[in-house]
Amino acid sequence: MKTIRKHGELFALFLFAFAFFFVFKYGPLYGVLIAFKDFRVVEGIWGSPWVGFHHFAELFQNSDFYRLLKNTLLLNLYLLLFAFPAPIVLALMLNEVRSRYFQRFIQTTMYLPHFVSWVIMSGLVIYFLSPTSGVVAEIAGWFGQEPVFYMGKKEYFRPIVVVSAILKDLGWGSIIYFAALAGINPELQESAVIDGANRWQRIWKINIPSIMPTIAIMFILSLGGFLSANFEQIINLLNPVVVDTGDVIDTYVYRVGLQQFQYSYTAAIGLFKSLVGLLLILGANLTIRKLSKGENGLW
Amino acid sequence: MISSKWQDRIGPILIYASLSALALVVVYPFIHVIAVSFSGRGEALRSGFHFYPRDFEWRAYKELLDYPFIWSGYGNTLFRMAVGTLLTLLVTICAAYPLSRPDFPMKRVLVLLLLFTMIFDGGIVPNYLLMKELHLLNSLWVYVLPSAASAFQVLVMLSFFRSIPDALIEAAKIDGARDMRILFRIVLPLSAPVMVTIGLWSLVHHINAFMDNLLYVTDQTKFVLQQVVRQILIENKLDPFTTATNLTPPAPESLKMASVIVCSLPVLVLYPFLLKYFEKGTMIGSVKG
Amino acid sequence: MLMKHKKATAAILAATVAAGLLAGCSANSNNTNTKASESPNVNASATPSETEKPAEPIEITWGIHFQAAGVVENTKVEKWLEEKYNVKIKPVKVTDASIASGEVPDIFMLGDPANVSAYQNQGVLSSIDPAMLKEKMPEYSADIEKNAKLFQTVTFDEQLWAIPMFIDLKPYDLAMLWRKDWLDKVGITKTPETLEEFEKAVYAFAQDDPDGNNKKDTYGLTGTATSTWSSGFYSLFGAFGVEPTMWHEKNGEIINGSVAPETKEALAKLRQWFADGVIDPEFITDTQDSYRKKLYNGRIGVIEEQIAKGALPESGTVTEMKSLNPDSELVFAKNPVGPGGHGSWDWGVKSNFIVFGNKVQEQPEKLEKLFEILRAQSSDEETINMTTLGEKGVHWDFATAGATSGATKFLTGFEKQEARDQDGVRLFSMGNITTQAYREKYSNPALNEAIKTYSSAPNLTDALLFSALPSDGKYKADLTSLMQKYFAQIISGEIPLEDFDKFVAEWKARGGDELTKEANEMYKAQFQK
Repeated sequence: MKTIRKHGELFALFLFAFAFFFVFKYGPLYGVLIAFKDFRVVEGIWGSPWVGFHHFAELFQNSDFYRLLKNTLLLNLYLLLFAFPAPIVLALMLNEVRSRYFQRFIQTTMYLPHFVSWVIMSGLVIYFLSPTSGVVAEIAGWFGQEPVFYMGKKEYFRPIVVVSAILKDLGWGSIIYFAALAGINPELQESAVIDGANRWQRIWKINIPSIMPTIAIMFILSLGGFLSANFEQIINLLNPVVVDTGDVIDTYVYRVGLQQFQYSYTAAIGLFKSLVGLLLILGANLTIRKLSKGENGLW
Repeated sequence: MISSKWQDRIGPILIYASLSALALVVVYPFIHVIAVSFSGRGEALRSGFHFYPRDFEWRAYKELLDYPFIWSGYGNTLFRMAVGTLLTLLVTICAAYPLSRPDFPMKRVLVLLLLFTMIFDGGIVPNYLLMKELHLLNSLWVYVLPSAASAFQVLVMLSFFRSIPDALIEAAKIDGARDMRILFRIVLPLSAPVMVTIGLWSLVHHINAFMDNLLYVTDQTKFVLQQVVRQILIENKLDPFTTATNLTPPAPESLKMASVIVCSLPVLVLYPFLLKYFEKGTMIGSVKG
Repeated sequence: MLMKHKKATAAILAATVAAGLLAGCSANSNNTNTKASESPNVNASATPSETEKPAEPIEITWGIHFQAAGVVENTKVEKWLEEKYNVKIKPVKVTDASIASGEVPDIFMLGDPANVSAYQNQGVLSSIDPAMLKEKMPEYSADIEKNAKLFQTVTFDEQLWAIPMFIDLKPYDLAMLWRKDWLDKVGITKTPETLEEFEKAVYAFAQDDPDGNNKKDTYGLTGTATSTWSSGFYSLFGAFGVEPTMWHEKNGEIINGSVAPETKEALAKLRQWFADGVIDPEFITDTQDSYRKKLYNGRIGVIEEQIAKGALPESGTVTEMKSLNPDSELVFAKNPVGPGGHGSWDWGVKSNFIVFGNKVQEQPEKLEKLFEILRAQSSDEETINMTTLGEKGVHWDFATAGATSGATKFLTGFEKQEARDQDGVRLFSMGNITTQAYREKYSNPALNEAIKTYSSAPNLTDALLFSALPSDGKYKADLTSLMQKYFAQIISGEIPLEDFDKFVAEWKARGGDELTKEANEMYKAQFQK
């Protein structure tokens, strides 16, 4: 009680903010119950009959489920391995550039593709990868490679998704890391130079540790969406011959949702994804807190 | 000694070169979009690279801006960008700052409570009923109020607040500063970069948002720009029969591209001015003393 | 829905009115209902039809046309309707969220029997008494008589749940659009009509350098592999007498086009063409939009195109082609005739469906009123024009100055649908509810001619008229996806043709057998003569 009075102002602030969460996020939360019911419009959520885990069983028994799960997991794993660090590397590199104009030039050009929708971007990707007209085929030709129809081979689909995702969102994603780098005390850098540290040592010993809290939090939070791949990107790049590797849980949900009133089933799938996401977040948070001795993490 | 000097000189050259190459590849889609948006009808249909409009005309933009509800849509979008971003920042700060104070009670529980909201969602029906009950249907406030509560942003800001050196805060406390003063005198000024980042995230979220429009607003005068554009480009999903038998000609390529530029224009204009907040160490120095 | 191609529909509607007027007149003279005053008074100003005491206006919650972007309140058209029929209209837009939350309008439209089925399952619709429908809407009933099977598509548990609409002259039927200048260049003077001629032409396109640039960079054709309901190459499958995913009736039995033996033959042919470099090797990434770009850019020489988009010189695709390639020439042609006849994916006579919200059945006066308005929307020229075209001289007029029938056009300021929506035009329109007479009066005769000339309809339409089967939700999307994968791989040569049999087995095992059984049951119960 004493602490509450001591931090009276803080409580007031927090309560004000939490009111929004309470009303707009907790208010509708009872809707997750739909996953356990057979939703009927005329009965509403409360009146609809219970079916327990029926929808989850339906999901797990779907003959495609394991393929969908595998594709989703693999894709997100690749994104985590390659697309997650890419903006960090970019920010670190750009931070080393002395010319402020060059810095701004790169920052401005590289964030632009974020605004191009995937509808348009996927058309460009398909065009560039075309064996008859694409740039990639031409470049491969310089190295004596025969043109390959990349979009027509399922082995290439995941790499294509990862690479195009990186190219599109690399710049935008690096903004947060710039913000983190901006907070580093320049005196640290200066004293390191005086001590004889070279560039790489400075990056490794000062920059990276300094932005580690940001990296950690971005990593943990991105795990919440681990079973949600980049839907818009995939649905626009997907074609019939790559479905074996490209079909993910969200594209499946999309197809289900094209029939009407599938709320209970899609809610069950959503709940499943959320639970997995929660587990991953908590697990990662625990690990990171242990590794950083309580420094980094959610709390 | 010599090897490190060599490294120090090669380093920048490599960096400049590779960054420039990467930037050119990465930025091409955007250049393509601009070029086609200014291209004549035939030229816009040509497959191939578009580095510049070979057949320049303003027509796509004129056509786009001529559509009914485009201007009101723009106004609504600007409203939600401004009000929404400010509100989001306010709410985010008010949630993150208390949680960043080491002696604030029940932090773990509160963070978990926030985390849950990021992960779990009640779905379309409860959200719709809630908006209905709050009389937010067909109101512009439905665009800014719900989205002010973003746990993701709170947690990111929280992490930044926590990384502010304790020494600075201690010093202020010794001088007799209380929580609010610390917030305004020390924490906020030092957090300009993350404020700008989160502000940007919010701005772009509001530019791209259309789902809330689709679900909660049927009055066309309250539509946002993105929704109006999606209607023009027929991007809202309809059953296969309707899509297959649709006789309306698809929007011209140049119009599609022009809509991208028109929609993102506010951010594109604003961004260069925000870059100065990301300059290294500018803030730390200003707080000292 | 059909209101998108308003000119065509309007044209068809126009002709319909003439016949409708005649039919309506005779029906009216028998009808003692004093409210029905629409048909003869085409040009009279709208006099409220009530001769009884002015009753309280009935409130109707009206779900606006599902392709309209949003609600506009108190529009001209709304007020006109309110005055004429003594109602108070509350226009609403039906969205997933609003329906799921229980807000069901009194009257609205759905696109598909599957939609009607889904809504009915949720209990949000009122059933309709077919006898009452016939009595209250005689003109419409007379016209739809020859397509009475449509009623079966929305009859569940022996009750009727929607008012079907039909269309017989369809501007969106597919036929072939050829590059005439390429045909000339490779020495083909007669536009291909048979499958053999078609084959000769596309081979020539691929091998004989039709664009004269000494590069082997052209192909005959491509397919729209990323269609969501079938497999593309509709006219080729059609030449063998099947369409994948469609239900066909053969000797009294219903089979699915995806697993028919003729499909294997069609695949063999396509596979051969692919191997010989005649089909664009990148066809699997082609979407409904991108394949046209390949024609414009001179990569292929023939596409399947909607009649309205390709048959007339001012059609959309033709003008787009000219804008990129001013020297090109296009010619429209029928689908090639092969061993199975000729055809393409025919959506049949089905159009959209009008439904009533579940509360309506408890309010007989409202039901009466709705029928009154619907009848006017089917046979009263003035009502039809007001709700679909707008005010003559303000929003629209006939394309030929001074005409009294034929194609219509929209006047300046109202060319865009969104602009017309502002005044309420289209919001309350019911599209193809109109009588044949109206359609004939208000259609573009040139377009009608083109449709009659080129369309392969009614070949190759669904034997169940696209009704929804009980297990469609479970299996249909997956089976379609399976089919698309196999067919694309067979055509491209990635897997052997014999794998078709593997596909058939898999298709059957993963729900195809069940669906076939249900299809046969439905056919015997509802569609067999």
